[in-house]
Amino acid sequence: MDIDKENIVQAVVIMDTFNRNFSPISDTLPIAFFSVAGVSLIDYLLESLALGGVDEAILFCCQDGFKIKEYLEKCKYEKATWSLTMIVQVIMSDTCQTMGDVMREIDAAALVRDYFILMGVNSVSNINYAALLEQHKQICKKDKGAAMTLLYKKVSWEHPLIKFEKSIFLAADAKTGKVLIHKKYKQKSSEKSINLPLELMLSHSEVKLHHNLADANIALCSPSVPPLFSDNFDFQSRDDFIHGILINEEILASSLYYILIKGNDYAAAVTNWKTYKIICRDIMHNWAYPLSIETGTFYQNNYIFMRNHNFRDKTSTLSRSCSLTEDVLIGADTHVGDNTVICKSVVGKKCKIGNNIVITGSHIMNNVTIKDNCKIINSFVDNNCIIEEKSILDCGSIITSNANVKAESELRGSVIESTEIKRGKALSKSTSETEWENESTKSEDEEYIGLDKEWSDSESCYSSDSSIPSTVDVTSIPDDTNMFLQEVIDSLVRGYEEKLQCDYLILEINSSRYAYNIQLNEVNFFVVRALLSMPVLTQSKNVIVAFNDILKYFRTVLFNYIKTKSSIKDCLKAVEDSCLNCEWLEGKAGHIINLLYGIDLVDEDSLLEWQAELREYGSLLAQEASVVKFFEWLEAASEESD
Amino acid sequence: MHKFMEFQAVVLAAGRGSRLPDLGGLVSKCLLPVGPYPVLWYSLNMLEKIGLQETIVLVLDEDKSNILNALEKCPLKIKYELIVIPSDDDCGTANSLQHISSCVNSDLLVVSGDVITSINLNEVLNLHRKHDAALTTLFFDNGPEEWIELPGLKYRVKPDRDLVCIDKETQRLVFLASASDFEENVKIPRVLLKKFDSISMYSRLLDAHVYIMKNWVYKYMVASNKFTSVKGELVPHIIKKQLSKPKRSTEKRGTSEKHVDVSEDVYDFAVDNGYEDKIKEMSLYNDHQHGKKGVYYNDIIRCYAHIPDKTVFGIRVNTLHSFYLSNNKILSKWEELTGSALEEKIHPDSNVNTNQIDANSTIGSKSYISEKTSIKTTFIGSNCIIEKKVKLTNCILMNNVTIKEGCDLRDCIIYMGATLESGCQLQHCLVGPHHVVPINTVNKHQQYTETTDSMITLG
Repeated sequence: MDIDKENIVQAVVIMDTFNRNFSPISDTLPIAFFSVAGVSLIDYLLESLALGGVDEAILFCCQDGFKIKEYLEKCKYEKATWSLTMIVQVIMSDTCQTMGDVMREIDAAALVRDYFILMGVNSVSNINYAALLEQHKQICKKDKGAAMTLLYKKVSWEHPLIKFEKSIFLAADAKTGKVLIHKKYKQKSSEKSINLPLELMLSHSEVKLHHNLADANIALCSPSVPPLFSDNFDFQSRDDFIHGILINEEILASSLYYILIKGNDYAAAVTNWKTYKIICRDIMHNWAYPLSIETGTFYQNNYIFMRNHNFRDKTSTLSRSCSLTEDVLIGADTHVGDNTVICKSVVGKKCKIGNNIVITGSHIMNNVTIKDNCKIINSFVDNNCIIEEKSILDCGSIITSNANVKAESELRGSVIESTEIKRGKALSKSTSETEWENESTKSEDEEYIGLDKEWSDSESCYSSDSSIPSTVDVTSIPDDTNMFLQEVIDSLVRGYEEKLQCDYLILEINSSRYAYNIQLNEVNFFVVRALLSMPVLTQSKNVIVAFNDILKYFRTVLFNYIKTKSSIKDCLKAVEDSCLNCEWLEGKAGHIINLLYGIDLVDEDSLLEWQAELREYGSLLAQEASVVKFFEWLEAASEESD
Repeated sequence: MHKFMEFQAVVLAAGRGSRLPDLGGLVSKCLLPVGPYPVLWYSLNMLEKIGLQETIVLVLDEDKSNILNALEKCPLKIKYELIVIPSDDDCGTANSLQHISSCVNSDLLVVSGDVITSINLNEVLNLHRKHDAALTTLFFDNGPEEWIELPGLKYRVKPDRDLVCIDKETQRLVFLASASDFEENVKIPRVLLKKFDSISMYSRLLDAHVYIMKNWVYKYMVASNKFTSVKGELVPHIIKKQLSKPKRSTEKRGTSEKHVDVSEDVYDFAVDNGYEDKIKEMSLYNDHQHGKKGVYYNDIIRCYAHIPDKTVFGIRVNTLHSFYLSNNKILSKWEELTGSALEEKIHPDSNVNTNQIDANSTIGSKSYISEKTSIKTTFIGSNCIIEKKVKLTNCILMNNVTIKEGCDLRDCIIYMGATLESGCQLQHCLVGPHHVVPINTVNKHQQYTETTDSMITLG
């Protein structure tokens, strides 16, 4: 077979998601082998790439690469359809921690030299990759700087793919499709309005505004993308990349474009349990054709289609009195007992489902035994589990592989790892349950989707991450950050003594930041900490006066970092941290906050939020006299101004 | 007998032309000449073209006789009734419309008196009818403003620009604001973007000031008495109301219409009086693809915007730029605009003694053109006197202008009653009303206007 070397369509697939949204299942099972409607994600992936005209796929594994390699060997031996037209390479690297690291690795190894498709293993799609890549090349012909074209699918606002994800707001020039603004909202963000820069709007005659796009985690990239990641080593994820490109468009001389996936094309990403469920259902409903049950590529025509989107394998046995209501998939050699009702669920291979069981909205993997009179609602049961009689699983319970659930146990939203019951950490548990209650009241009139539990997205809970450094003292901070802190302090001290210009100091701090690969929020945190740890303060008799002086001097530096709401949060965290750990600041926290408030560095709302937070986790600072006094004053002042 | 009409047309012709340069003396905007006819004629002609038989024209008292005179000379079949509105300084378009509340009994078609367009208004009317809209508007997408060297002093005017959001899928008009309302950021409600999924924000559209409004919108405007401008206040208000839902329960609606009072909700006016609701329920039609909402997202108030093809000619004569540009283009667009060729370029009553007039010029009635003159691409109003050896290129002469012997004018606008003494050579100049330009003036980019004092002495 002679392939035109010039026009090879390459796809780079990142085989990890770098989050723990599927923990604890993903702890033992690589996400690639996650079963969606009875088929692993990797099968969908390879099949869809081959169908979409990809000639060469590079699978980049950060862990469990050998398992994937092994699996691919097996597939090739079995002559899977994709293996006939597509070359698959597996690249392994244990050192990569983020998607950014992967891209840098790809750049260093010069794995791609031409335009390529970049996607995650969690994307399920039936689009024509080759044609879309061609579109991206056309865009690049018009704009040499076009780095990446993002693929989105337009859905309605109520669509679960958006509703349970961080929603994206995108503004783009209507003529060219060039992305002007890209903003991610938190889940259930209550922001009422969107601010668009007037200048930007006036300089484009027509700007498209989208707020209901589902992100399929697929992008079309120019050869310039991996070097861009190498040049900007603070890019950790694709969102960092997008953000960085947009704010430094001129410096990086790159731009972003977007394409909406048309009509019947399907593209979605499995990002959390909710989307997992939606995609399962979509596949059963044939939306992702030809990635569907009836086409036979995965199932080798072993399934019998019954009415109401019920499918069962030829070798499965159903008892006379059991009933499959709708959207049910029963795998090979599975037996369903008498009077059992199954609805909107997937049951894997070789399972034994007993009598009088109700299974609704659940995913049951292979070789699971469920004894009589159980009730399984909105739950996930992994391989080889045994669920004893009269058990009730509900509210997004997760049973990991080889676990036993004892008879008559009642589990709501808990996670069970083989044999021992592990209730989620007390904190996360309580939040998830309240969340769930809120939701159940709302979702009654809506079609049922998803495990009924909110799975915290590991990225979004920054506040809990940042509380970790605040409780440990300086010595236990990891080396890099500790060195960074020391360098910032040195810079500031030198700047103060030699009366250097603040602009230079900012440059200095930024270069240290890149040298130690410190995230922006950490920079904010450490700059404030450094300011509070300056020797001028530690040696001074009147700390407050001294602090006021250095505050005046470093005003520009501070305002450079502390601008947004989240940076104010970082700043207050740093104040809290310093005041608790440094003896020279003891009892002066209130004064320090007052000074910061005085120069308008922190605003009232953030202060009040911070106060609430302090109280919530019972920080010592909340009871400190000066802090209490400050907040009393703040409240009184705000009432007056009202 | 009372005649039933689907739409009543109202032409707003009481504009003072505040965006035009102040040349001393009153020039009513709707009487500015564009080609052979005043601007107002073009809007009336547009209405006539779609088969309307009569229209109301709102005018200022001081202009009434002038307008009557000017329109008499133009070919028009449509019946027009001039209604005088008091000339207050702060009287906006909405205030003027309130003056005719006694004659309005059906849906309104409000047209600005300064619009010149080749669009077939039926396109807009059909959009309104099709969706049973509360308000339908017309925008032109002309692309960036054409640059043209203007007569008069050089100064840069920042054009007013509108920010318009239109949902491409449904043609709904969902947001309208003037760019000058914002400083750094444009604030848009997030719900808007959640609800409509193909919104485009336009910043270079030209609002034609053609509004079709439901009768209830008009009644609401009159009753609430808080709007001064249609474009600036009423239209954005109604557009905003699309997002809200009626507060009161359904049984209260429909009965409260009798006692009209200022505090009343817009939904007291927006009442379906037929079977629209039931029809919508039974119909399979839906105007949008995604989501589970009913047709029109169950909105009671709906605003639409029509953007015609880019080839459609549309301009509003409200700035010097557009005034000059429209004169520049009018003859090439004539057939598109009126559907027939301009036959009478030189008025039969005029006295023309030269044959050096090209096909791109027109001459009004009772004007006298001496021999040995050369006239190219120039519009000459009525009662003008052009003496010997005058060269006119690319000029606009309003009524009663006198050009003395030997003048050479290029790209100039001469307002009514002005006189140019002999030997003047002007290029890109504006000559204000009743001004006398002294002998042998040679200049470029100048503006000749009277101070108010000398106006009185001149009479």
